[in-house]
Amino acid sequence: MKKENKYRLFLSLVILIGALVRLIGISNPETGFYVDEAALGYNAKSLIETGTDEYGKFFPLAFRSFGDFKSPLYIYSAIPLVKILGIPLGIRLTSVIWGILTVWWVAEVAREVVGKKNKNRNNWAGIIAGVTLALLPWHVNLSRHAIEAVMATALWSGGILLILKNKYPGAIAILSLSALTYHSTKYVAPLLVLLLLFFLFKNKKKRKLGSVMILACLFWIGATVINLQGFSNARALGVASIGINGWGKTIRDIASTYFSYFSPRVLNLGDWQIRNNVYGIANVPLIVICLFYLGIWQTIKKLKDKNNFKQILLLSALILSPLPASATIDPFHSIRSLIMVVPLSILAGVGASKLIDKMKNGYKKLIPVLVICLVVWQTLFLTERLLIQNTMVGYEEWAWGYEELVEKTVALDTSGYKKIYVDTTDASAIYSTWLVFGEVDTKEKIPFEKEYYVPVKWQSPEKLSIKGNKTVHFKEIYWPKDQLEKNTLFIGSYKRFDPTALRKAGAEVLEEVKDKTGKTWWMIVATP
Amino acid sequence: MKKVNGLLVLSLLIFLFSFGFQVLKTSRLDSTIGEVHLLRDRQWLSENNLVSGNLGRLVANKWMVAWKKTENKVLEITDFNIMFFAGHPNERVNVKEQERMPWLLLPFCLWGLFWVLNHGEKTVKIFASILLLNLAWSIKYQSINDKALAGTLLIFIFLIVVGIIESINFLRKSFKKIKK
Repeated sequence: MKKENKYRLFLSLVILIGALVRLIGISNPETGFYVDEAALGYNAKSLIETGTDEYGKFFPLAFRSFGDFKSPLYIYSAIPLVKILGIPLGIRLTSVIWGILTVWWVAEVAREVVGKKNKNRNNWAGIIAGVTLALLPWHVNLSRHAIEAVMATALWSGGILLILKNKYPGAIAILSLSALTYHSTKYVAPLLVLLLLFFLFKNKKKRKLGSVMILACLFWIGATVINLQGFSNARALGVASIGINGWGKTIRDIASTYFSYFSPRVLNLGDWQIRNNVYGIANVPLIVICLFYLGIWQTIKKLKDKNNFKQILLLSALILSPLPASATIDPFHSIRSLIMVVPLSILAGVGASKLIDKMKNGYKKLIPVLVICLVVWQTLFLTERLLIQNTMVGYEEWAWGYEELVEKTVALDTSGYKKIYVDTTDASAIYSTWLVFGEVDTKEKIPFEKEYYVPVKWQSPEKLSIKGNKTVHFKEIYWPKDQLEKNTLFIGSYKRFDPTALRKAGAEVLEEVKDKTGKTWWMIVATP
Repeated sequence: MKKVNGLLVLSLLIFLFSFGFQVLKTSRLDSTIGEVHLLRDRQWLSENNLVSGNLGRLVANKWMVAWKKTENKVLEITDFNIMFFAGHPNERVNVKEQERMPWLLLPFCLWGLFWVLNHGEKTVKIFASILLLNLAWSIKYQSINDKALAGTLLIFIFLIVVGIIESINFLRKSFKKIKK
């Protein structure tokens, strides 16, 4: 078999394994359904059925949602699958597809970076980079859920690939689309385009201003103008750490957060939020971290060469990737820094290929066996952690059981009660889950006071009409005060309802949602 | 070069022995056994036939948990955020973090590391041997505190000094070029 065909076969297997670990059990209720996923899904459904979002805005430039102004492209890209498969499967499968595409494109980029001169080495770089991303817990976990960053990461890798293939107008267009997909790429994708334009300006041979190139640049300017608007930056400014504790401390804090994205300990540990990590497995395995560092060193060494644009591009992508996440108040954030998995996997591939290249021929024959063993082990390990450990540990953070809670409310006879209150203390955006599982009619739009694009504090609507002709009201439940409201239903987390206080008030627990250990998480309580 | 290769192999063997011993020791701790019980309980509660038997045990046993804990120690010893930023923004639970070196020296440390890596195979191998011996020594501590980080501190100081000297040389050369 030819080397090229062998590479294609191996890459197809890698993509297949990547797809398998991303697809297995994604529609299980145990995986939960987070408020952001619900918001993305409902808005896609609303666009399909009415051509407008939940507020009645016709194909918006940014989705106001609960006040976080979501970048629009993920919702638009999810329309076909939501139309065919509905929510939650359609909205999640969109993410899975983008995740699988990233694996393919990252493998191709690694192959391009090593170059066609090193025939065998470039194939190894591609395969190892592909395997790394296909089974990287950091990327696998997030691409199993509807998250805009997954699509932005795919476009980020696609843009880099097109640059390396000298298809510059396409690269500029894809990177501009990436800037319209998620908050992080909003800030770094235009910078990568600037780097490309600078390179083209310096290189007379490649400087060709065709009509397609002009159109691509105009598109890039358009995307940048949209991203400069106040609403586009509302979310980022809400979590920015800049200037909070004085400039001296700000610089130190940003430096420490930035370097933490390169720290082996932090890369291995991952995110501090349970839902952004896979429980009990390294976020980036130690072997990948070692290959990543080796890849960085190999790439830096190559900078001495005359034709070093590929290396400059790859290192720039690496340096830029964690920058937006570093300027926020949170420590290592898997979602905000997700685009970093692209240079990380590519560099791991580059490092591994160099290592294999240095080996004696006898040892080289053992490499495929070693890679297959590692792939089988990581697949088993990751699958168990995703399906068993993760679902139980991340119960609350992924809002597992909330779907059941809404269904129980719909099925409950509420005719004798004055009002139904839903608690918003822990998440003001929880109404999105009611929009989806309460099957709220997409023709019913949420009223808003100010102009659509004016940034506001995160908020939920006052009320929603759900299935079964019921109206639920949203507010922060405070039991000492709320218990005085007679003949009313209260729905929320167990944290809002102390059993002793409920007994004293004579309140009755009508329904409970419990996890597999028997612990109650969500409750429906009625006052006398 | 043969002697240097020998030193590297010996350091690697000492490190692997120390790592293996730590895994063995950690696998017998109550906390490790407790964690394995938790993992197995969740497998049992999930009622998933796939992981109820040997496959479940393969990915949830005392060796896996002990390996992960020992690996964490190795990563803590080599973490420059613990050294320069008192672990910020990922401070460790139950550890009183403190800054060991001013963070402004980090660029010099990286410069020093760049010099070592760029200074020929021999230097790299000697540096790697020292690093491995330091790791072998430091992971014997129950928690990675000041004592455990003493060796790493010396290595970082060496890199900083080299970085400062190299940056001064670089500035001198640059000034000479400008004068010419």
